[in-house]
Amino acid sequence: MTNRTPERTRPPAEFRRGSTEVRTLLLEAARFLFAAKGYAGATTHDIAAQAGVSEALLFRHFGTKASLFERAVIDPINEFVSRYVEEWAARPGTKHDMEGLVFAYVDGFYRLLLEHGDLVLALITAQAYEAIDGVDGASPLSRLLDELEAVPDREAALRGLNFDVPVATRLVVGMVMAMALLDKWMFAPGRRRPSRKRIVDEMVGMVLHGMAEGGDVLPGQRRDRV
Amino acid sequence: MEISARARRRRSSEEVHQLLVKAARQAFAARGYAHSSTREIAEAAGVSEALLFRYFGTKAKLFEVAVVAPFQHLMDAGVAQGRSDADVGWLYDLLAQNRDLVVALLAAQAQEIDLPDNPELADALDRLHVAGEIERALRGLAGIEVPAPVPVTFAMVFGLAVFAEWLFPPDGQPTRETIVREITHCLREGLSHDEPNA
Repeated sequence: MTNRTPERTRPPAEFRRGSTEVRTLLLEAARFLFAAKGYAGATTHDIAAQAGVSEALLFRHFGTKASLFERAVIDPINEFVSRYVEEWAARPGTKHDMEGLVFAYVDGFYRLLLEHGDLVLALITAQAYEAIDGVDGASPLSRLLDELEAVPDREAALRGLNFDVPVATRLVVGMVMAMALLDKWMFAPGRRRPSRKRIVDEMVGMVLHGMAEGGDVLPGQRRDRV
Repeated sequence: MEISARARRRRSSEEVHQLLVKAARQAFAARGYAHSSTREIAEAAGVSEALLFRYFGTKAKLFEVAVVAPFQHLMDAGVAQGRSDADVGWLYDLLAQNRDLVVALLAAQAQEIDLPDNPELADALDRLHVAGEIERALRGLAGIEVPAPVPVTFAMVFGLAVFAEWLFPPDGQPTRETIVREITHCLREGLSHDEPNA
């Protein structure tokens, strides 16, 4: 596959669409097909067709299929986590509002994943189907989460809290991912669906206080203090 | 393709059925529904494709028998087991040990959009009322109110059971005990213990 296509063979649509628009169309098509067919099953040909552009243009924008996967699936998460950690780090090193910190993470991450509905499935089917070129050993997500760990790590130290930071961090991330992925499983069509805000509040409440917060929910298992 | 001596041996219909179901489940989990061909599944099972069709009729039916029905059975078994046990370990095990099944199911549901000419697959997936199964499964956790915390609890367990390989580095995978302990703790009082560090 060449990276260049003679001008005259390009579909006319490419002249009319801006580069950003083409890129967005390709990223959306990629997430959709990676989710539906897995990394191995989704061909660059199909992705380009789904986006309504030529395959040559896909390669001109992204170089390789692996790089397209990174841009479409990993980058949105990467950008969100990096921004979150940066914003947190820019604040003074005193006790932050714990609820605000957890809320900002859960709310932002959940919103991102719902917006990019195919992202989580694309991530897990890729792993089930085939290792991705250039992703050896640790998944890109696990490297990101090491970065994210700085937040609970320092907050725990500041407050004298005691918890398993690596597992707790991933528990929150996994919970939000599953909540977005299983949206249709959890909230069957035709049934009343809680608002997004309500779902986020439930997740934040669970992380901060567990079930005990919600009232008499775990008989015999209430927490001792409060 | 040469047929192995093992495949030529006369097998009971039950045995053939099992071989096909096993091969199908592996294929659907590894390549998704659309990219698993009945020819490859038959080959992996060591039987002819004609025999596959004689047993199951269609690929969608095979998917239902290999993936949808076992998922339903698992949830049923989990519910029965979970009722006597107010901890989430059983649900974690259920999902972690059947990760392929869960991923195959999710991928097929995503592919369904892509396969509008496959009403049979759509029917099989429609018959699976996952939301109801989840709700039932989690009612098994003693006294947990449905519906509010149920999706969150399920998501928490599901996240660590199904995404573990993505979330943890290869050399840092926690033990099952650690995961179940942390989830259980979180369900009871949240992630941050109120106890100060020693």
